[in-house]
Amino acid sequence: MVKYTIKKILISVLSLILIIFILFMLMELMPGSPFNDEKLSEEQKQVLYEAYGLDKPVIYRFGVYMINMLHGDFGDSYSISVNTPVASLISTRLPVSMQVGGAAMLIGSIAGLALGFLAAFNRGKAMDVICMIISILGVSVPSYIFAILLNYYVGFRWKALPLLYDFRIPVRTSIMPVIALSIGVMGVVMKFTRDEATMVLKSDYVLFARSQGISEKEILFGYVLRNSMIPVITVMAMLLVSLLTGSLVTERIFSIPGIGALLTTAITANDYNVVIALSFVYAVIYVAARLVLDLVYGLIDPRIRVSGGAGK
Amino acid sequence: MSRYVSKRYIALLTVALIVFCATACSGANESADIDAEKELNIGFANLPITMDAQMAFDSASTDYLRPMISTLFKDVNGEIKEDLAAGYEASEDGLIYTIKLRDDIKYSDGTPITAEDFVYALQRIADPLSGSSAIFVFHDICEVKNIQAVNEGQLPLSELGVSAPDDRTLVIELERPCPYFISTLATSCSAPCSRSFVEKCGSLYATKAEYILGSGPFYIDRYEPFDTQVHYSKNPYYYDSEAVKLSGISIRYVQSGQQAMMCYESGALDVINLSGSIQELAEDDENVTENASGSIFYMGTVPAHNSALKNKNIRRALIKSINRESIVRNITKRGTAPLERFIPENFSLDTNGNDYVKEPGEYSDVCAYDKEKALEYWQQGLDEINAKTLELSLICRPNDETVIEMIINEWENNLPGLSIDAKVIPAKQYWDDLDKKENDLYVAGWGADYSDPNTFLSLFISTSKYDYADLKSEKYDKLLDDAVIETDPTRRFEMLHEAEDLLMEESLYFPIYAKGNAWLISGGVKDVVFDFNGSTLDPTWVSKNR
Repeated sequence: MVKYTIKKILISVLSLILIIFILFMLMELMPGSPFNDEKLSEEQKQVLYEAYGLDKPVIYRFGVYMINMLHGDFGDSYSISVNTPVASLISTRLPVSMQVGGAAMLIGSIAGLALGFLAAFNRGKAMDVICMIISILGVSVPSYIFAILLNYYVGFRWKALPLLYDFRIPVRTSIMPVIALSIGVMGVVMKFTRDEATMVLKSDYVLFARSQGISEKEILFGYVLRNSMIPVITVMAMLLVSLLTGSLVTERIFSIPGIGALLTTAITANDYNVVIALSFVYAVIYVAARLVLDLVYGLIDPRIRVSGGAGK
Repeated sequence: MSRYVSKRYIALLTVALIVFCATACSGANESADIDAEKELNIGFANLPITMDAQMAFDSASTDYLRPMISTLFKDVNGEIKEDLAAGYEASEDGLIYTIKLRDDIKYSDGTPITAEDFVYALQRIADPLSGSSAIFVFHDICEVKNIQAVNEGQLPLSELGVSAPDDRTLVIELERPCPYFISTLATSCSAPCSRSFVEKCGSLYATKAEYILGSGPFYIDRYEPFDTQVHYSKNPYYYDSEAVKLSGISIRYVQSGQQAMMCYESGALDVINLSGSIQELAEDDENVTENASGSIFYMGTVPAHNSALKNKNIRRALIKSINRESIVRNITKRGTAPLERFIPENFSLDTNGNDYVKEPGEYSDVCAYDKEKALEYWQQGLDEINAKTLELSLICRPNDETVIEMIINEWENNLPGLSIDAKVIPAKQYWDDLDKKENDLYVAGWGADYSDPNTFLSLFISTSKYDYADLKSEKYDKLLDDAVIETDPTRRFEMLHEAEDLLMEESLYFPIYAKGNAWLISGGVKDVVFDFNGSTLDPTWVSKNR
């Protein structure tokens, strides 16, 4: 297990280094410059390039960036928030996205699990059909459509909730974005839960348990829930990553100061430091989630770590 | 699952969701400090890139800075008035300005504002290490003595032409006379800056509310970079705090126009900027305040790339085939006006209060939409260049695409044999492409930096990089140079007028429309003031009664 763990961690670190290198090179290929102001003369632009060290070769800058990054310094923003340390920019924006995304994940997962089991236990009945319709809607309709509908009806027409996110009333003003984002989560989790639970319910050991007169409640919690959760947790982990890293359109609709808008603004403004640091944060979250899942699989199913370790 | 378990399941889920929503909707612990009813709630579609006044030169940062800064002079609906300055004197040659400060001026922490703070502010802008874009104001618009050498690191900051003989007196020396110099001292970058405060904050200066010092009617008490909400409270140390009626201001970043409109209609926002598709929703609204003079949009020719454009009749045919009225009525709408010259109406007044534009239709013979006349010029032009057809390439930015489609449609319908190959170039690549001069026509816009015709006319002098059409007229250059040193305001406007005549006569550039701003301001909000181009809102005297 130790060898397996070390191997997985090494692969993750190497992936991250490779990602940063590719990002750096891609930034070089982007047209335009961070000082894309027609009112600046060439001389003034040159002064800015020198001030930010952008006149140096890309490999040299990559080396300096890596060294600084190891000290927690991601550089300063060039153009979207001049001279603000990128680390501070991300550290103030990321928690907002994480709070909203985390709440959406929690509510969506609970509702998805509950309705998924409900559908599985009522397979073929009206309840199953209703749950499947809800699931299909949740999966296929983008969250921003729900966001727009909620905003228009709940916020504007009925005046039940504020239209915009407000730092003074964060919970109240997060309800609509959280609901909008959670519907998609609910749809996916519901579908996976239903499929897995249906398979477990059809399995021989559940049939055997029923034949032994074990109660439905015990079958639900003792057999179905435990055995159908592994694939569902895998899906939830990946959903969590996408939600924590912000939802661009939903953040835009409710004016949430999250990380989604920060990335797109930085890309359009050629703010290299912000783009690289943010993409790196996204990569770290994704790679970390994969690592945790790999390690958990290894723990749960020894066949995975044996084939992974001995096979190579 | 049994029916009993099913029902319990649904009941539990429903109760959990209802409890969550009810608790959150009630917001019992959250509404204590909301005072939106008494505050001015403004919606902006952009975020500031900095709250450091000396580093700010973009319009979004200026918008967010305005409530919390004061400058030596203030632009009140286009009229320059004293703000932190009590008065000024200019030397006879127009090269030295001596400005006296008010006695009772303080920052939002109660420390006094001195002349040294303005010296430090200008030095920060000129400092090569600061990389401030605002250097454009004191280097390109008006050149402060030694600023180029200081900015290139050849002279120390102390050699910059600005000094403070005493706490209340500021002296600024210029390299050459600048008739509109006082208006540059109304720009946000010339706000005072406390050296001790900046040094105390170090690299954190202006990155959060606690690292920002106000000098205006409000101070900032909530700001984080890239936040969607900035909050200001009334500054008790402001010299004219009795005139300030609002207790606070909340600026919300609302990117979507529809969202801004819903917020306005529901009362969540009192003031929003009207742009894009929401203009139609407010077409007949009496609460719209508009100004259409801050920027000009024009098309330029590049005869160096296509010799057919050296023919004046060809150019005249093109300029007379642009239906400006239709563009403004159908596409650009409120906050814009057809432009048949280079200086918009009501943009610049001389010191006697006379508008530079005396006759709006002065250049109708050159510019006004006239299909028959255009066709006449066109046929004459084609004969002169000995051609039957003409293909022209054109580049524009994504925002100008609709306007250009309309113009091309008119041209190709009205001028037989003309075909246009148009390309849309990403905004950040546009000026680099223009520098290459690889296209025949291009679309450009220019936002006024100060309310003087020179801000637009100087784009086309021989040394300007924006003269892609190569006007290169000695007479034009001389007229603009002479106008700078001319002290008689009437004579000065005459000289600028003569230059504009020459520009229109050559028809190398085709004015299309003038653009300012359109705002939707709630009926209960009074005394909103804007700057000369209607883009920056000054909330100093605003009152709200909703």
